[in-house]
Amino acid sequence: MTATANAPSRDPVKVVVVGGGTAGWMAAGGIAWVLPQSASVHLVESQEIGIVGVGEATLPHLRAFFETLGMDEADVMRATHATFKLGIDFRDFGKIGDSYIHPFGVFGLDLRDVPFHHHWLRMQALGRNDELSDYSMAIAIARRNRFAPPSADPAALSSTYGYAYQFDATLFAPYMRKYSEARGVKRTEGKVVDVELHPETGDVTAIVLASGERIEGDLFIDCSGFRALLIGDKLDEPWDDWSQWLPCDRACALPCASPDGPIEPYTRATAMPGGWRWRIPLQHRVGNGYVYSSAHLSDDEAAAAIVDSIEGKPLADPRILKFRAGRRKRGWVRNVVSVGLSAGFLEPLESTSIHLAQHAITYLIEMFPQKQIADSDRDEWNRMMDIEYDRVRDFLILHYHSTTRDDSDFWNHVRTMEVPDSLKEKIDLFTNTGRVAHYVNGPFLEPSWIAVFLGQGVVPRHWDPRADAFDPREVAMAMDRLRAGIAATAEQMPDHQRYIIERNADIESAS
Amino acid sequence: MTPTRRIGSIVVAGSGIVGLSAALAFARTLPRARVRLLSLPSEPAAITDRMPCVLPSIRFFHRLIGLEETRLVRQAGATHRLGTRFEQWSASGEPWYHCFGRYGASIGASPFRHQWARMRAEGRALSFDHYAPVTAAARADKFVHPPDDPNSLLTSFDYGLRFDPTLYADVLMTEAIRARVEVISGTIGEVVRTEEGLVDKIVLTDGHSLGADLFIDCAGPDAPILSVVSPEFEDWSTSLPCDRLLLASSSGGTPSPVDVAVATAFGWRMAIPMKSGRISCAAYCSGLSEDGTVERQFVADAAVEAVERVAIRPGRRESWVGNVVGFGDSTVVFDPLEGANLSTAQSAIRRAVSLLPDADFLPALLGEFNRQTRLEAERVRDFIAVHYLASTRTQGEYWSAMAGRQAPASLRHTLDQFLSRGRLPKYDQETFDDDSWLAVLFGLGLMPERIDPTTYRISQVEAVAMMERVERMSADLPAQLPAYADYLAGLVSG
Repeated sequence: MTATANAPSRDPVKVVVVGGGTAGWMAAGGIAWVLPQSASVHLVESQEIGIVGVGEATLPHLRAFFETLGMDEADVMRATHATFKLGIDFRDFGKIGDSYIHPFGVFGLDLRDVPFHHHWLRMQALGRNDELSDYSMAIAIARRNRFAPPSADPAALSSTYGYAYQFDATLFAPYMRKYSEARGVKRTEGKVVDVELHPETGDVTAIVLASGERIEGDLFIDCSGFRALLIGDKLDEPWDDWSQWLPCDRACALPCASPDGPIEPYTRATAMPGGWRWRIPLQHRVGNGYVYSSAHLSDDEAAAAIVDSIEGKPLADPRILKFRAGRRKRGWVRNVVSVGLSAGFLEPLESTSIHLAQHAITYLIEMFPQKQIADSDRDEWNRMMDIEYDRVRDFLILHYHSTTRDDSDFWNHVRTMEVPDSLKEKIDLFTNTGRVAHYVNGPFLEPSWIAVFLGQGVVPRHWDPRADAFDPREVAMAMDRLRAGIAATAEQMPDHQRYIIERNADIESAS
Repeated sequence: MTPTRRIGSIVVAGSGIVGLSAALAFARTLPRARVRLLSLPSEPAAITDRMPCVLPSIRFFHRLIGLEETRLVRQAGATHRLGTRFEQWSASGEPWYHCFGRYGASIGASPFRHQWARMRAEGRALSFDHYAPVTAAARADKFVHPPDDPNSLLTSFDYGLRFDPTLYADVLMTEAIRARVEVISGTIGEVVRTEEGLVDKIVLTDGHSLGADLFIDCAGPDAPILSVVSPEFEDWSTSLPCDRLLLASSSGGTPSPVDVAVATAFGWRMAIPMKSGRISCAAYCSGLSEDGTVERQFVADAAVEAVERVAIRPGRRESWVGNVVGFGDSTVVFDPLEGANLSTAQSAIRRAVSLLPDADFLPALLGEFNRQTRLEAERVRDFIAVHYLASTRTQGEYWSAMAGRQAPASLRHTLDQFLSRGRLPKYDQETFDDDSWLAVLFGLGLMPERIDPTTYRISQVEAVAMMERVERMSADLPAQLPAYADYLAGLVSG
């Protein structure tokens, strides 16, 4: 596929990206690749301002982004020291001592249209003693520290899972920079000191750098992080604060050397008295961090706790990051589209930071405007992002709210707080019937909700009555077969670390 | 986990196709429940029982109740339905097809529709329905089943069915009796409620009374049971103005996989070819046209004799309230353009058994059922309404009255997105997929104002080559397929 000269001559939309972190370079690269004739991209970043770089774990959707941009997975993974991710291991969330994996994949196989987890619930009640996780291919692979890419044959058990990556975000942004610059994105180093507005329309016309350089544009993408230079500072778009539901507002990050033993193909999230801590294994190190509520825990306590928890030699001093849960009321205002932290922040419990930025970019490409922006483009983009943020928010709150933990003020607060009505309805439906409300939009669909509900100890009062029509002996046999098949399939897969090492070696020998 | 009281007894009111479908689905799902089917005097306005066209999703319903297509071809006069040919339905009057299946071929990251719109704007493309194997087959009156071979062009086909309504009902009745559904006849005299507002029992005019845990109202638009607990009716006549139908049957003709819908000055008229004979139907708005005028024109145009007039009132009421659920015309009425009536009813039945509550009828579960069912019905309404509210045709009293009519918000949203840039927003419940919407929107003569910028990533040369390839492969296909009458005869004889 090549862009050719016989495309109609057009006056490309001048896109100015403000900020060069993960969000900024993903936006620049995406637009430059998909819209080579329709947009010119100019990115401004300042070396003085660091990358927040918390987002080290991703969602499977990122693979689609790589595919659209024609990126080679193995190459990205090598450059960012990435590992594979089959899910998140949540420990001590429902109660201390609990552990469940929220996998990228389904549980079991439906028997005659009745979803598997209803059969499982019924069989439990009839005395069968096993775990729902025994029926997840992703979990079976994860628990064995193995990995192989899923099969394309829909009949194969090994087609029933997906995967994402755990990578070094501080290396991913430079990777995307190289990609973007090779595709015509212009980069200017400099600090933005002024933003000029059109006196009549109020649109942003240009940004002015400390050097005095003035950069004009038609469409501005605000990737300036929490500072939100355009959407916040200049356009004053209000912020919807969600800290009443998501009280964690700080993280204390501390990378450490990889401990001996296998590299886990999953992220760990362990609940702590004042929040939770992440453990993200990369090829060369392990990322750790304690996400907490400053109202319930001091910085020193958090730092002490994270130092205490790491399993390898620390590679830096503990670093405190501050944030607040919430989002801009509208992410796209006038000719400014906010992507990444300037648009909103939902804590990293389900690795949604990069995902939400990716989503904003994908929709911006889908709704890519003309120089004169149509309201219908902007409104639709805002509508789609509203749905995405709201559904992620509800899913995150569930992890805190559906718990029996009463061992700290923090957990007492989140356990007893009022949750949004949209979440209340979902909890009510699942608690009473084991059903999950059906939606097609949003990153977390039915299997994810089932995993977290059951993992957090929400046992439905009733299962699907249709399950009762099955002969329990036949169901038991089908379940036995399935469990054995999943285990056998997982056993045949290569060790996760070895798989990565061999693939890296292949690339090196090829280049 | 606490033991719960399952639904142990069900009364289904109305033994038309919808009532039989519901009785059978619930009897199969709850083999231990007692299911009684109350056969009522026939209700002419229950059009879902009378217009037995179904969409491709019928296969899911038939799998649920255990019916094989071959059996329906042999015993229920089933024929295959690739879609509809629309005539006089745009300013140009050029006929167009809405068929089930895939249109076009994707190229790069840019959807086919955008490439087509770009090429059409440049004068380099035929109409949209030239870029699908399924429409090429429809144009030639041909049909074969899509094969298992994923490399075959024919896998892009999809199809619905139509049945002889009486024979289909007979097959469903045979199955219902096998599933131990008890059939009784009567007329509803009174619906008795409990103190909590549920329905306690139905008293028949002969004095018998029927009690049950769950009452299913499939008795047509009067909704004798559902309306007691769900009295509010949302009127849809602004977007679905046709409130009169003319129906006629005739014999002769050859079977065809294509329905024909012709826009007339008063609304539309349709010919549904059956295995033998055909069903003809016309729809108009009583507030805009005079009965006699429409009927005379219909008799002449459709070449029919005995015509029956049926009054309908498009709209809906909440489907499931307490221990009463309604399917078909008792809960939602739309005119039969696009043949979605029975499929919408059967889809709601499938949803009801998959969200099957216990005898406590938990509000959270009914709420989820009603939410999905409402969204589904509204999007079917939107899909039918777009034929009226967005057509570029202006000739005739019906069509001039449509000018400037406000579409419902969800349809307005679709139209805004489509007209500005050829995009379709994604809703949580869609009966008709993107290709169906596009076939109709482009067929009606609508074009997006802007060409999507992602299209220019593909060179014009590449885009032209891709379009020509798809068009040629589609056009070459029918010559390789048997005549439909022969193909059907082969299926009947086995």
